[in-house]
Parts: sequence; C-alpha cells; structure tokens
Amino acid sequence: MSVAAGAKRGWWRRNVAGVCVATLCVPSLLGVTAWVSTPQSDFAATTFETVSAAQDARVEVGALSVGPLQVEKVSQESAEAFDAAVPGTNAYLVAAKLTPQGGVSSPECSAALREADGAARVFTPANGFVSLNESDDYRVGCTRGEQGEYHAVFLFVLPEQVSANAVLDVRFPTSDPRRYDVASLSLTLP
Amino acid sequence: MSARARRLGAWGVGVLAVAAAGLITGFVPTDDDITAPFPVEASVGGDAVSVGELSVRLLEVRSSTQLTIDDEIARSNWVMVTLEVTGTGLIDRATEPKLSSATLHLGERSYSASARPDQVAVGLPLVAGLPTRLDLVFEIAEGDIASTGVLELSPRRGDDRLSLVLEAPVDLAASARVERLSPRAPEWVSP
Repeated sequence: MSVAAGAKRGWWRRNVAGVCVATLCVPSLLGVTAWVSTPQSDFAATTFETVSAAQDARVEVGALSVGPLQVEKVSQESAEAFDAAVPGTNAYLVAAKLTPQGGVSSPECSAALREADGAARVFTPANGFVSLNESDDYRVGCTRGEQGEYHAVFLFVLPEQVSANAVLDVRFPTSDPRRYDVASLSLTLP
Repeated sequence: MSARARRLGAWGVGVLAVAAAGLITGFVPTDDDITAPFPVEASVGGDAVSVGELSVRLLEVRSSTQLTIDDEIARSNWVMVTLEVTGTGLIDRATEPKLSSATLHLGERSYSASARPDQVAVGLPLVAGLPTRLDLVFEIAEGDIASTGVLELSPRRGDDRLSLVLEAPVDLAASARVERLSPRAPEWVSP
C-alpha cells in the first residue's frame, strides 16, 4: 500500500488497533489498580456461626460444649457492695458450663444478653465495672476453676423493666479473625 | 476551509477542552469530600440521638474560670459538657461501644476534651443498655469564652471517615456561667 493510499484511509481506520487496545487496557488498568490499592479485608463481613439452644440444654460450638445455663439474681446484700449501685436496676449472674472437646487450654469469650421480646434491647456484661462482696467466688469471663472445670460467668446489670425472656449470646473467637462461633442460649430471668 | 482557520479551530477546541476540564475538576468531589463523616444533628437539652452504636443525650453546657479536681482548683477558662451516653446494638460487633473522640470547635480553633486520668470520659468502655453520665471538660482560650461553635462527638477515634458524627451547636455566651465546675467521674444513671 502506498503512502498516499494510507493517508487516504483516515486517522481512525489507520489506528483502529491502537484505539481498541487503549479502550481495553485503560479501564482494565484502572480496575486492577483500584483493586490492588483497596484493602479488601476492610470490607469483608464478620461472620457469626450461631448455634441456639434452651437454657437447660448444651450446644456444641467449635471445640467446646456450652451449657447448661444457670441464672441467679444477685442478692440485695451483694448488690449494695456495687461500686456503682444504680436505682432501678437488678444484677444477675449468668453462668454456663464449658466442656472442651479437644485441647482447649484457655477459652476466650465475650457475651451479650438480649431481650427475646419487647424492645429487644442488648446488654453487655458489667464484669469489669462492679465488684461484689463475694468477689473472690465470682471469676467472671471464661475461666478455668480450681478443679480444672471451665465456666463462662457474666454479671449483668439490667433495668427492672427488662423482659424476663432473654437470650445469652456467648461469642468465641476462631482462628479466622473474621469468624466467631456463637452459642445462643435462651433463658428466663428469675 | 483555510489552513489558518483549521489551526484556529484546533486551538479553540483545545482551549474549550481545558476550560471544560477545569470546570469538571471543580465539581468533582475531593477524596475528603467523598469520605466525609455523616453529621447527626443534636442540641443541648434536646432528645437523645443515635450515633452509630451510641445513643447520646446532651444535658447541659456550663463554663467557669475555676475547675475543682481532687480539692485543687485549676484556674483557666473551662467549658464542661454533661451528657448521657448509652451503648446499643452490639450483637454483630466485635468491639465494645465507647465515645472515642470529643472535640469543641470554636471559631478557627478546635479543642479536644481533657484526657486527665481522673476525668477519663472519652474512650471509656460502656456497658450496652445502661446510660452512663459523662462530664467532658474543655480548656479553651480566653478569646473564645463567649463564642459560638460546634460540639463534635464520634464513636470512632481518629478515623471518622464515612462514619456518623454527632454535631451540636454550642453558644457559650448563652450557656450557664458558674463560679466553679466540679467534673464527676463517669457513672451509671438509672435507665
């Protein structure tokens, strides 16, 4: 093809291959750059593998068996020893037996109590905020007793008007920082 | 069309393209704009408002030139904001609720709440479901004692991009001026 013939073909027809390559490559490059520079882990949702059961039942969660559950209203004498007694509230100790199924040495956990009906409010333990007369008898959190047994013990300070039907969610971290095992145990507040 | 006209036309198109680019640049949001926090309006003495996992009720704003701490009097220009904070909805969160930052913007100055160990109100882990009363203390410049501004509270420390931030107008000239302020330690209040 002569130079004169090539010039007659026009700019677009002469550069059609380059235009196609640029049209494909530029958006692709932008997309790849955005993907690489965006920390995907920030957008990964935390997942909760929940197993539910009644108060007097046991649930298998990861390498643990959780339950049965015991709920005790803290006596007035003990309640008076609160660092910060609050009018219009009651204190409850909620304890669940933990039975390791494998080689669990020191289970970690956190918990929240939620109303099963009504306003479905959520409460977190007041473990680190109050002390009781019998504080030596109450080792709160997920602990190992002197006999080698494991317990999950939580102290909740709840409004007097709280729903009697509630659910205790005990959350256990897993090897995957984005995943938790949750034992969800129904209970009735005394 | 003459060569001169084509050249002028090309220049014209170029100038128009540059002007259009400048115009578009002016309208395109900056990185700060697209990640700006979402303000939640509140007022001192008003109802509680939800800010993320917190419910916040601003009770009062007072100012004084004296602050009593452990029977000692600190003389300066003090502003104290009293509020009730309640943590809410924690089931799907791995962190405990807390008021992570408190800033008082007065004019061109911004003041952070006092971080004295005996006045730790910011960053205090909260028990979800129980209201906690906090006294936030700000030490401000003398030139700002009668100014107006905005109180900004955030559940997230440092990085509040794309998060909810409480904003409440504050008028120090109209707020109560007392002889002495005595901040209390954070305490639960009856729900």
